[in-house]
Amino acid sequence: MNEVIAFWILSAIAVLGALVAVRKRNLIHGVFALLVFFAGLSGLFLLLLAEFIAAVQVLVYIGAVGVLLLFAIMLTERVAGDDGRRMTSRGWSWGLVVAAAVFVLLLLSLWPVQQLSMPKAKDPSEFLTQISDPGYDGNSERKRILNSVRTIVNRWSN
Amino acid sequence: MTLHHYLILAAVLFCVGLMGAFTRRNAIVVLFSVEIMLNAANLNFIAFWRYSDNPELLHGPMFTLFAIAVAAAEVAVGLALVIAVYRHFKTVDLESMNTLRE
Amino acid sequence: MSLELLIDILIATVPLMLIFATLFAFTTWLERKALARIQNRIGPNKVGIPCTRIGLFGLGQPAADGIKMIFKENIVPRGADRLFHLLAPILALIPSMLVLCFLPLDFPWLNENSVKAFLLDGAVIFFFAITGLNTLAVFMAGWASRNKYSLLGGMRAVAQMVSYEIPLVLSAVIVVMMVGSLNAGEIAGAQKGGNWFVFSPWGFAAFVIFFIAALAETNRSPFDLPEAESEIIAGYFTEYSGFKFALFFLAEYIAMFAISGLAVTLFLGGGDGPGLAVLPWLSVIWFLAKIFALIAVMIWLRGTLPRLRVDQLMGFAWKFMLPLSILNIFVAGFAWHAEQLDNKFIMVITWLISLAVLYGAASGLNQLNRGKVRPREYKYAE
Repeated sequence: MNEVIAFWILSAIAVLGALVAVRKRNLIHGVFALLVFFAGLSGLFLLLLAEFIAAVQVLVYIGAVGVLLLFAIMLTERVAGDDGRRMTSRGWSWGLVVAAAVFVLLLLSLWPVQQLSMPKAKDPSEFLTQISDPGYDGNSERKRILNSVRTIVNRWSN
Repeated sequence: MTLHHYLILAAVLFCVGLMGAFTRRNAIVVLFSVEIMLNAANLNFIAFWRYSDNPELLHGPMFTLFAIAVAAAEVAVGLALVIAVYRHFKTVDLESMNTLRE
Repeated sequence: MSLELLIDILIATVPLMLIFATLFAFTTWLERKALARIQNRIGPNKVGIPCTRIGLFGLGQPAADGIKMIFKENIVPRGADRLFHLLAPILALIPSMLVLCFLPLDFPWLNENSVKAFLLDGAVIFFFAITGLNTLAVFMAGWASRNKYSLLGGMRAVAQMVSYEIPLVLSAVIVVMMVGSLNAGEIAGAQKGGNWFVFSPWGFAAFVIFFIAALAETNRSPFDLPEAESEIIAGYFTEYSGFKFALFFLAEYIAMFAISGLAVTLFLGGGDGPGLAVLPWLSVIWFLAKIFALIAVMIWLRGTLPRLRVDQLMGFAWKFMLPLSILNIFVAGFAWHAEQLDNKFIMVITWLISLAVLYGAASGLNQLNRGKVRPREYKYAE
């Protein structure tokens, strides 16, 4: 249940952050909205139990890319960050149409995914209980991961 | 939560990024939008990995790690280009950069 | 979320916040007192117990300062971005508070079932990721104030913090390599029994680099250019007053504690010290004592060293610290391989060689970076 609530909150944060980042006239506000989007996505990675990727997301995107974007805005636009001219490009309505079309296409392409992999798919919470299980041995798990990586490398090198 | 929740979320985010890239005329905002699209793809990688049969293989995080590293380098290069263009044209408006067309 | 988990989380976090907030108050007093002694003054000595003449060496000063800060007027400049002006101090405080939970402070009231964030695989990388947010808070404050000096301070701070983050992380990498784990608890555990990383040539070099970079990360003197009073008034918090200013102040000191705590974890053995076998809870005391030792060094440096110029600051990070820390990683790698052989003689040779290499590299870089400045010749003022 917690997971569902967390998913909806985090996805709302991510989508709103992305929308504001794309539509905001003030570029500095846009960068900070983009950083909110990155943070929301990092939370989603945590929800998917990829905590290392979540940490790298914060480290690289919020820590490095955000600062880089701020520097670029300070070096190019006026310091206030206002995108003063007309904000949208000439064929913006066509852009909206294409984006909507791609969205529909993506939804359609999701259809076969359901039939192919949903029956086999696992709930992440099962994996979590497996890890938090007192009988679970982290060391042997690590060895198993290492072994599987080794077999992949062997398969590729042959 | 099912895999589909994550996939649809990633699709929404991707299309928001696409919309930004198509509708804005500021080069820096177009870079934001590209970043949003790349991150949506990363979310897909991680979701597919977590819901796959053997998540201990760590395929998804590997892909994502490489994607993050490449995207960070791409932002650095892209912003260097934007700054170089700004020094030349004194603007970052993508519609006023039409030297090749004329 | 079950109630038990909530209680566990509160038990793990609330004492940390209380302890470090108290230490913050004490440290402000200590800093003012120590700086005063260095400058041959007395320092705060009036505020003690209210309505009496008892001074208590001015120990009541932090409380008085706090009350003053809270009741001061909150001034926001007319052109300022009101939302960002409000958010910046909060964004500065949250990451510094958040990273405290990655310090391996094993309080006596924590048992096996408690929430221990420092036992997370990747605690160190989380630490660095979250401290990186401080940069954004500083920029936000500088930009939102709509003031040239604030913006200059903010940009200086961003450039400085981004540059010094690299040697900071690279020197922490050495410890991670040696232990083979990013888990703060394991790193502290690997140094049990006086086997601290600072007692080896590569560890010592890494510790010195880490400490200097930490000074720059927390904007401490001699790297306090973002808030250089004599150049840009107060830098990014020129336009802040009242409680928001107090929040910045608090965030700065908590960040100092956090980064000193990480230095203690990585290089100074965590909670290791004599008497642990008899009284296990002493480890917390030792940990805090080591943090205070580092804070005392920071105060001492503030009283001693003059401020750097911007070009000197950047040159020092990119031309001296970065090459040295990369070389140090190679040295530590060779040392790790030598350690695997488990031979006393080879270890002694490794120590001598790495000492020579690191010393040679440091002095060589120092020679290379020395400016082409001759002693000034006075033509007319003889």
